[in-house]
Amino acid sequence: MRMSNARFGFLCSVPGLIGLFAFIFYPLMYSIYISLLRYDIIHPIVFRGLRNYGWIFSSSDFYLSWRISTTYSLGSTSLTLSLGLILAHSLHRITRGSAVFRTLSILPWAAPLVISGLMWRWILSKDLGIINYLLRSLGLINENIGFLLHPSLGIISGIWASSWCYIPFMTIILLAGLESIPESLYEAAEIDGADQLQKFWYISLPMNKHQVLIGCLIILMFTFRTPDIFFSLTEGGPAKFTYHAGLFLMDLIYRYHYFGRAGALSIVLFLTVLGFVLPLLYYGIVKTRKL
Amino acid sequence: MTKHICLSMGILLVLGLSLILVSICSAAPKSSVDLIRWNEPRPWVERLGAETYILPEGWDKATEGVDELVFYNGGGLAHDIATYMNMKIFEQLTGIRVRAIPVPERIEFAKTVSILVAGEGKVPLLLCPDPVDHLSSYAVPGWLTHVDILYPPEVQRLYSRALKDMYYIRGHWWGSPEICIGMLQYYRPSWLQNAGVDVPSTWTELYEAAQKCRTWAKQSLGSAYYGMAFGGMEDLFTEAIYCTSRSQGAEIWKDGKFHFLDPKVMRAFEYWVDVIRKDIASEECLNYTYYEVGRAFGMGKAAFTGPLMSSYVMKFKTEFPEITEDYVALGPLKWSNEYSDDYRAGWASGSGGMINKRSPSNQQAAAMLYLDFLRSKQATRNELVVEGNETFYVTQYEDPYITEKVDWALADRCADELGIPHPARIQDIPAAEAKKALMRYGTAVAMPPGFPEVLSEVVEQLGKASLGKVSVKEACESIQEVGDQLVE
Repeated sequence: MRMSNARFGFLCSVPGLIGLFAFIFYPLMYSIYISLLRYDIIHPIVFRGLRNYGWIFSSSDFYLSWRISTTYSLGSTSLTLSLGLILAHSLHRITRGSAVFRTLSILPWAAPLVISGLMWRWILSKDLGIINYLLRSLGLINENIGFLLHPSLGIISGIWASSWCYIPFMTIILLAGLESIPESLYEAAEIDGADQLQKFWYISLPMNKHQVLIGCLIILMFTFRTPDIFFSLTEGGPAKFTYHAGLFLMDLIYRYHYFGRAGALSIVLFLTVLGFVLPLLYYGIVKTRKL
Repeated sequence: MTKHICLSMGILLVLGLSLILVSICSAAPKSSVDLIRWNEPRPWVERLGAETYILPEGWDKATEGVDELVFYNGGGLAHDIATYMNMKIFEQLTGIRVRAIPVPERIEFAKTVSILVAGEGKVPLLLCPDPVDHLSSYAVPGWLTHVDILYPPEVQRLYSRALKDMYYIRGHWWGSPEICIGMLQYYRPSWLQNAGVDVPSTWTELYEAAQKCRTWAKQSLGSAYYGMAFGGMEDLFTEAIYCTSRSQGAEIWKDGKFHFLDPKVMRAFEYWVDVIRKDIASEECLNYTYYEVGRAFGMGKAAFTGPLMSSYVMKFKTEFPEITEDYVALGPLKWSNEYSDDYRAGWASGSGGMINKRSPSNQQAAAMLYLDFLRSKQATRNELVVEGNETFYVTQYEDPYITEKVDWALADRCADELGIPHPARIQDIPAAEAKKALMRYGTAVAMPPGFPEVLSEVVEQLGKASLGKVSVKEACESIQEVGDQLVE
């Protein structure tokens, strides 16, 4: 007896569903369960209801780390998108030696974020770093700048260090989108007298909307939850000026052993990421379909 | 009549037999450890102090059935040649194979906790990589077998007081050291000469000397050259603030409470804040781990260091050509000349072994025997001479022939098995006098469970106070508040 298409489709998706359940759904449910418990290594495990959430929302470290993560995430996404767009358009226009330039532009992506953080930690060091040395040599500054020692500069340094890693990724996505745009559209615009900026604004960007959306979503999610850069760049210091929410979560788990509170924090961060992502998805899927 | 006599005799016989049976049963050892006669064939102190460790009587019965002793080692053995040598020696002495399971540093605590929470007894000898921060977390929930038996008063006298500071919690000994790490301060003699200052012997003199060195260095070398480099991150800062508090006779943790509002502790905190605030050290020190401190000093960027591992005595010689012949290690300091030498306080800690309560009795006995061996003269000699660690066994630093007593052939064989270069044969213990003073005046502390939370607050407030965001008083009050919440 022949199997129906729907049934065959369902059977093919079963492995993926199992993976989804095992690696996404079950851990999420378990995290919610733990977040309702008093769970540390010293006291007996007891049910606490929403008290862990109460602790989170009354913790100054939570607001501090949430603010830092949000700033860092939005900053990284903006910078990555801006520079990624410039790089993608440049690579799209280069014809001679394009393979070489494309390879070179992708290289920073090979470095893990932690390594990037360590590298920039030394480059941006106030006393031992090359940036300050160059700035002084060029006579641009009289006193060394503590890039990693002040709240704003520390976060900006983190934004730069992570963008350096993510720009190749964004470039690849945008470049793929640019190369799918028919050349005839640009020719028609040129005939109508459009300049480069108008072509970019009215053709390249709208036609690349989905790629921009996907790239931004991914960078937003990664940077909000992943503290790799700050782990190696500043370890959240000094004075918690760069205390990313991921570092707060790590401290709760690995240093303070408050697993219940860590569960609650992870759910709150998950909901925050959903809060960023859902409107973008709504715009990208629902609204653009109507257009 | 005869019947009555027989009956009485019978009752007496039964009673007598019962008494004999009861005394045999009550004399039976509760655990295998009780079978070990630690003071035989020689008194304990002599067994530990012999050039070759002497096994106690009864060890074979106590460890009957134990073919292999498993323990967690911090990281791979390639970095721990002395550990490997000691494993081989113990195997040779007892026939018990010793197997080390390498556990990466970052997950050591999680790994140990998970095995204890699971009630798993397969690893009888667990690693406590940081007794100061974590030993109480293992001891308080009742997961460990205490090792009081290993530390009678006469044995305690062999070792630095730092040992008891770290391992004696709530009336019991909960571990024994495997490795000892000490912290020294370092300075550049040429800088002191140029700045016109004497070698300091107190923390207040060091502050003034570093200040003058900064003035000289800024004018002569440039603004990126400082009077001091110290670690403002985590453990390095615990050691710095603890030593400067203790050198005034103050304790940060005592009688179940934190004392950050003690005027002497606040003065110690202010000391380190002022080192940054008054531009003696770079603000970057707030982000410095031991690695950066060593690098900054090794690259010739500072006159002094704050507390830094004693292993840098050799590192500065071999890895930093900028200062090869121009650095000296400084031993523990007292706060000022108002205090006697008894107030000198240097930091001495290091990882230790703990006995898993869930392991079989004979395995626990084997683990205890191994810990006994590790603190002996023979084993600590290998740590001190071959690997460059320290030892709590204070008199080791007074032995002028210690380097000749090492079994270098064994060291080379172990290096070959581990696939690493043969260890360098040193003639003397580098900076022996400073290290001897360090162990003599060594101090540490066993912080309560959850201390990392307080430490995090200490580091945060150090940063805020140094950068002028809060006053020292406000900073100490914040730290005290977190500490009070922890012990409630």
